[in-house]
Amino acid sequence: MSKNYFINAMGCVSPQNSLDNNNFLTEIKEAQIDRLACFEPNYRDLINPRILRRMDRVSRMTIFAASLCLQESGEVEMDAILTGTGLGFMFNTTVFLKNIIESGDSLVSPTTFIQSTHNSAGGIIARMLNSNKYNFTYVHRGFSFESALLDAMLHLEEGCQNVLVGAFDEITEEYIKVMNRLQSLKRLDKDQSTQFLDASIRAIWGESAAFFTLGANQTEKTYAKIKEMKMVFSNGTNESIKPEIELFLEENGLKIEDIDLVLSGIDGNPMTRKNYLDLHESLLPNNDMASFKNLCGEHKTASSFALWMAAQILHKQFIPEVSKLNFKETKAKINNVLIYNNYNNINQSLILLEHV
Amino acid sequence: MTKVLVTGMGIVSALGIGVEINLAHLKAEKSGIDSYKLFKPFIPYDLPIGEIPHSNKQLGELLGLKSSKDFSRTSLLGLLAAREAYVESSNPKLKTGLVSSTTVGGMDQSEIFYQDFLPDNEAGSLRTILMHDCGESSEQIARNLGIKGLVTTINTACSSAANAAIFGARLLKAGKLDRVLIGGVDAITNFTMGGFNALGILNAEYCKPFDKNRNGLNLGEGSAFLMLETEAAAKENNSEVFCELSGYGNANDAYHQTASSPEGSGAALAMQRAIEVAQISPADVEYINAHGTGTGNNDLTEGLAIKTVFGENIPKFSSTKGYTGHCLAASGSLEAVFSILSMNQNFWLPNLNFKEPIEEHGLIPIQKLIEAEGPKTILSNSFGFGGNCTSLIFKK
Repeated sequence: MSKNYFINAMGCVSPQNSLDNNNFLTEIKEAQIDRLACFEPNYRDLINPRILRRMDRVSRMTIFAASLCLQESGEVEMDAILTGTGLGFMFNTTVFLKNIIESGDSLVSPTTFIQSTHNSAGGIIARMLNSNKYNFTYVHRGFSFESALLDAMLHLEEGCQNVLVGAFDEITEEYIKVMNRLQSLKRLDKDQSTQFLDASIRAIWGESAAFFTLGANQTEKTYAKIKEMKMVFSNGTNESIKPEIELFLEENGLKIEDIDLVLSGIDGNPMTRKNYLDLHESLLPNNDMASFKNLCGEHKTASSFALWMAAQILHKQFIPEVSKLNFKETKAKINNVLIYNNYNNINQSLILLEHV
Repeated sequence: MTKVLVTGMGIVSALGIGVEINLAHLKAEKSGIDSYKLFKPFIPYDLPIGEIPHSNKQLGELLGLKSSKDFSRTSLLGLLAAREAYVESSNPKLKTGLVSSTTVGGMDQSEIFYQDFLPDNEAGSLRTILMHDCGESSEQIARNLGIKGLVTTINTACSSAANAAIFGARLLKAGKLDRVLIGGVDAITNFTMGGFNALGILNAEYCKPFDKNRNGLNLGEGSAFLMLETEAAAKENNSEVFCELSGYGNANDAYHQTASSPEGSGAALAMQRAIEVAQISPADVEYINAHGTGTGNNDLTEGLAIKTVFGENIPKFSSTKGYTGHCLAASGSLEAVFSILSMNQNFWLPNLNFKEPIEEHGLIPIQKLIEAEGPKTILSNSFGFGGNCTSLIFKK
């Protein structure tokens, strides 16, 4: 039974230029008003123009990220293809809904309906690779990527050698309008300190697509090792995740002080900000801490961008200035990184990585 | 490695609410498909569907909710089936999870929102759009039943609930959970009606799975859940054991987003993998609950795939879509409940509306209900968009 999950290749399309893994956040793209939209590549570089023509934007982002990862993997056969998405193909979904609401007759094109199915990206990858293997898509809010990752880790435990796991979510104009309306309903808490982020108290909406080759064996290209991952469903209560984190670390033979960097999902979202700050202060006051949502924006699968970032940090032994929140001292070596994400105080997740 | 045991079942379909009424209608060969009465279409379809004849308000009352307003129809249907299937645990140390599935989540509510929001972006009740995503109904169920161990949702189109069973079984075998509630739910929505109609595969009459003159599918709505427990957990809880989930296989057809490969290679692979995991031979399978939607493409290629796997010794088989319509994400768990009922209540499910076999494969399903000792080993197929093919094996 493997307990080693090596990140052997990655592909990431995000609001930052994350297309070349040899570079790591050397130049930072900032949010435009309320959003961080993807820095889009020249899709033709990796996607067959015949297929590209029929793809919507999020499919392009997703298939490009998967292709980047597969290119870096080389001739490795994937024993499973796992994807996660919080909202799937929102643009297509909205277009199809609009068509059936406005047309009033049955002469609508099925194209956007067909391409709105959440597992269609997994299907495209299977056809691209001509892969008959296990192919699952998880669609659970702030657990979408984590569930796909859990399935990937299970596959390695079951004896598989390599699996492809990734996640994607897009922003659309309609989505931004709805999210901004929802956020403006939340009363801003004046006590919320701006210790970590000096931006105004509001979330910046984002998007990304990130894929990883998870292998049972270390290779020359290995970025980092995932030690363990945990999802905590809060069941609507407001209890602290502190004991869960302590237990999680203990199960992995670590103490709080062994964590060289906490990559926190904190952002300006007034719904979760206070809980993040409470946790940072009560459990992690002495840990070096960095943020990732100021780089990728809030979305249901933002933790997949965080995993890309954590793997890069461990591999390059470099923490981008722009993400640093709380630094006590400069560590000689970054060995253990903990990603902590809190989606709406209901879906909280922990991913523990180790330097290889 | 532990066996995975089925210790609870719950179902809501066009045949009724609860296992008992579904069983009665299955045995009476009574279809639940009819012209719609509650569904409010954007486009006036003259199409029969497998509708559950209860309004959201009535479903809320059945659940004892103060108001059904904060629930999508998807959540209401899911809650009813999940509650019936759920087995309480006597030991709080046993880790319990939920793996649910849905293809369009709270789309019924999003449709209400979008009608107001599209002409005016400041309009539309935000309460309704918050129920849009696929995780919403799962979290309602988890909260209602107090499930905390793991909560997730799968969407692989029409193979979703069968895949929820696979993931649940693997989590038990790996020791990540001791108990897991698995299943799926989908409500009738304009989105899916409009989508399948635009694809030209909705039947204006009752669907005729595996018939030469089949002419498309009927959409249905429903939900079904199964409680899965490890042998140790089932023993500790003194659970009633319905059967074992002994095999499962998922394969991708890697051919087309909506159509199956001409020879059904993904479907054949899924069946072969399930047989391998169950450590049996094809000859041990006594009954196949086919996906059998009634579309030209599915019933031809599924039949060819069955021939690839079983050769000349084709087990008795049928599609139960003629009873309920195609309930999308829920079809895998609905048909698992039907299969297990047939196993334990000693009858063989008929394939309603069949007359003549398909020329290319000549397969003839069970046409009339057989009352005899039930099948002891059952293979159940579910295939979805994106080339997603899944087979489950249930063993007495």
